[in-house]
Amino acid sequence: MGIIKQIYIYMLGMLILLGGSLDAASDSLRMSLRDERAISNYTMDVRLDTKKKMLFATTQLSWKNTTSLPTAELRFHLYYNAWRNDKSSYLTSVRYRNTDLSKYGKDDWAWCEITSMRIQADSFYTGLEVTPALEYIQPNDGNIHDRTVLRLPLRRPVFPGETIRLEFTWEEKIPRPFNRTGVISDYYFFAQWFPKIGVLEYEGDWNCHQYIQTEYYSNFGTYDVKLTVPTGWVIGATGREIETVDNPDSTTTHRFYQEAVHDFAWTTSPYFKVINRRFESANLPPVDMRLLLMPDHLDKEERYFQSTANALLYYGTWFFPYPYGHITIVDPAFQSKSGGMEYPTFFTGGTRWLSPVGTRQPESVTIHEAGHQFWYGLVANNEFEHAWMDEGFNVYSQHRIFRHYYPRPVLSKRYFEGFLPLVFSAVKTNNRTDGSDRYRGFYSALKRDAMARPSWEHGPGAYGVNAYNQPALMLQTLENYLGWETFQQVLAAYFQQWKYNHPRPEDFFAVVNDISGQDMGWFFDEAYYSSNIFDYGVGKVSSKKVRPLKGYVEDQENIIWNEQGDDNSETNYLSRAYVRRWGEAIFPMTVRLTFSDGEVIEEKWSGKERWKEFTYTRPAELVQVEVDPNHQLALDVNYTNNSWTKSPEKKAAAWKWASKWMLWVQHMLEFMAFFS
Amino acid sequence: MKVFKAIKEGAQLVYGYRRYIFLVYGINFLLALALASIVAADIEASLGNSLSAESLRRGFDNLWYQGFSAGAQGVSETFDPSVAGIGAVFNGLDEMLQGKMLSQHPGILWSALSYWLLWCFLSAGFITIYGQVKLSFFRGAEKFFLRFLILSLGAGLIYILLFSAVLPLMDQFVEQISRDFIDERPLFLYTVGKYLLLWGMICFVSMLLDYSKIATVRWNIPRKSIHLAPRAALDFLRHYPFRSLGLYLMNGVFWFLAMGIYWLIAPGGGERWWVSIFFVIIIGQIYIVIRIALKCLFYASETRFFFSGYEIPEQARPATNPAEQTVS
Repeated sequence: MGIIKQIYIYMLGMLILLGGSLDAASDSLRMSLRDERAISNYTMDVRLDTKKKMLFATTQLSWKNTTSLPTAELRFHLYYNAWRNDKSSYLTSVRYRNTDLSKYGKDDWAWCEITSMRIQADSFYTGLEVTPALEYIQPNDGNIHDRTVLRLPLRRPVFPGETIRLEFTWEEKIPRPFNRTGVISDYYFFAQWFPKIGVLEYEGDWNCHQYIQTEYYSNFGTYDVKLTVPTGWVIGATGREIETVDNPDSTTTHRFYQEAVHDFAWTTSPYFKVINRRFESANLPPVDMRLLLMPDHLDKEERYFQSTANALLYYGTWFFPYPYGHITIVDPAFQSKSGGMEYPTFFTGGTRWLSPVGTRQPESVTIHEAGHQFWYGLVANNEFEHAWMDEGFNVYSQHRIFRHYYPRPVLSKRYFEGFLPLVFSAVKTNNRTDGSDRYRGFYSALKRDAMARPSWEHGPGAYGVNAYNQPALMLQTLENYLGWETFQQVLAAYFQQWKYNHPRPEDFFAVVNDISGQDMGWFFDEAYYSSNIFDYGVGKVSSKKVRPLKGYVEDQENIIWNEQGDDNSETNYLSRAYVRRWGEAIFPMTVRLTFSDGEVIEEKWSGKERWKEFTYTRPAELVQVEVDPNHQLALDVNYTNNSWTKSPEKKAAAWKWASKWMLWVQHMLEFMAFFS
Repeated sequence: MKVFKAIKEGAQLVYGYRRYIFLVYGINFLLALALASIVAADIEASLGNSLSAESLRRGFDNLWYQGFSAGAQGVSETFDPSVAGIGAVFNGLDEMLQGKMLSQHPGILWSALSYWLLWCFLSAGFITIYGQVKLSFFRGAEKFFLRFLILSLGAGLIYILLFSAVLPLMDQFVEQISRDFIDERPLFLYTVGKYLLLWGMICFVSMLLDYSKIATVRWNIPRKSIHLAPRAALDFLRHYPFRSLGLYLMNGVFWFLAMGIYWLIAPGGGERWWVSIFFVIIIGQIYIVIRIALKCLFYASETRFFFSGYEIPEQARPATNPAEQTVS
């Protein structure tokens, strides 16, 4: 960091201490410190003991205080302690409290211990053994059985702009797979596996949550990691392998190096088949793709590569070119619970032995996790608190690829304990951003928590909806409302502005307003800050013949009595259509009315009133009414009530499907008869 | 008697008494239709005047379905689009395979149990006519119903035991043995093995039940001596293990063959108009008739096989004189 920037930081810190506006200052500082790619830098030497199923490691960590305030402590995550005992905050959390632990024996649990820690001598520190000062803390729930956060009090604070260097040794018992990490047979997957320093926020607070129910958050940095595993085992990790050394004890040390990432994960197994391929596309930098494939999925090679390439291509074109030049795709082992997870330059897909194309396994998970290289890997929001900012963005982006470049999804179902898939190619389903009705429990989850609530606090069932589905639909609605050209600019600008950094929701909202030139606060108030739901529909519709005028009418020069009109008089219809706002949330609507002569009228409605009536007297009958006919409001929780037609085909539709259901019942009866 | 001859004679009898197949089919159809009417009414009501009806008619409307399934009540809760095409068969087959027949929705369960009870009655009629005992279908059904019911309940208890006690033990065994599998294929083979073993036992019980019924009809085994029927059946199976197994497997092959053909031609849900919807219904109903006919073929071929010269062993002989029920 340049001296001018350091002075700037000190001055800003002083301003804050003198009572300046903390918010304004920190926002300003956050912007000025953007693109900090080397805050937490790790050099690790790790040995895997496959007999004891343990890791023995040393870590050298250099950490820079890039905030505006000094800190008198450091905080670390020790994620593996989440499975140290059954009273941990993880295993008693809403999300995981029902985990079946009955089959977990003594060897299946985990722990992580730092056995010694020293502050390295440099210009600020004299070198100090600090192990005795380490203490476990429980900042979120006070659960004394939880040892997932470790605190190191410092005798001398680390001031803004300073770097502290630590060296520590640690040991770790590897569990049977829990939440995408652990060992099964000779397959090891290591995620959230090393003592990792938390994030000191710009306001001076440590963001180092206990491991409860959400994902992760760390600063960017450089990882230089030596991994020693049995010779002959295949290894895949974050970064590029830059050195391989065979040791005399039948082990091999692999050195991986990666700059500007905020996590490091790895896997090893003797069973992987390694396949390399290069992604190349005009206007995008090439990417070396390395696929580690399990033996039962060798036929999925092409599908893994194609899906990864599609993610790199479309995300790269729409948002930002993938900058790392390499990516490792791991086909996770069966029963390893390590599928479908993202880590920088490295991710796990997931498929089954039998998985025809219609099942979208591995396509869906591969595009999703490769997509996380962008939303999470590069634009690295705080997943503890705003999980929606990577999951929601990624579900939206992933399904944008599906919507535009893949055939419409079809129903698939697995039989025979899940081994045998059956694809129903005639039963078209939806992409996840097609509409809110896609999700069971969506409604109740929405009424439980607003998206704005920190992710780790979400109630049962609400996490999935608020982290994945609702934000994806919110973004789809924004795309529909602003138009793809504008929204693509929004996302690209947001990406450009916040890559290698940690945006907050307000940062995204600001970019939307800025690029679109509209204040979309009204929309975010509804969709993000409140738990209101969107539901517009068509109410009562009528279209009746107007009885011809009864009374005296002019006929050329005479006034004549008209009793009921005559055959020549024009028939008119008085048509009334009520449209309704059933939900609390407001969104501007288009109402489309179609008449029997083919004429179509489109009306605009602010959507603010609970109902609105549209009345017409026309020579044609009103035959169809649609609210939001183009399904702009993807957040609408009931799209079925958005339309009305005079001649619905409901009997044919109902009996078409009821007769299929009936056939199923008939077969059930026959199966029952087998036992008679 | 050779297996093929038993099948041939059985097929002739099934064809000769085909009117009873349609009787069974009619009952099956009406039971299912009563429930389907409820589902159709619920679907219709949920569609209202929405354009979703149009998309549902043309194919499937998943947005509608998600809303429908979230609010469905009664038997309509069980509606899902996987009933399209071969799914209508596979959904039931999968549940049967895993012994989940009794965990159905109450509306369907009661219909299925009624149908099961009806088959206890009808199987007596079928075996009577296929055995060419000098009784009419309904007289035979009436005469042997209670005896068959006792036999079926006895077999039912064994089935329940197999599904509720033996299968979980096998599950546990496979789970333990496969705990560290990181390749899906060996687990698939273990699972296949598990179900082959389980269904081997179930089919044996099923054969035993079939031949017990046939023995009951052939020798008019009275209700109080009905325990002799399984003994007679067991003795028969001991005498003809390969031919009886061959006959059972042959019938099984026909069943799977029919299912395979239906799989190839079963429309999956793309039909749009009343005519095509009706056509699809007809194909499905023909398959149901074939299934019933194949079940009858099981009974008929087994009955002919049993009646072809096999004599009751001394120890299984009932107190009453079986000669009253002469074989034609």
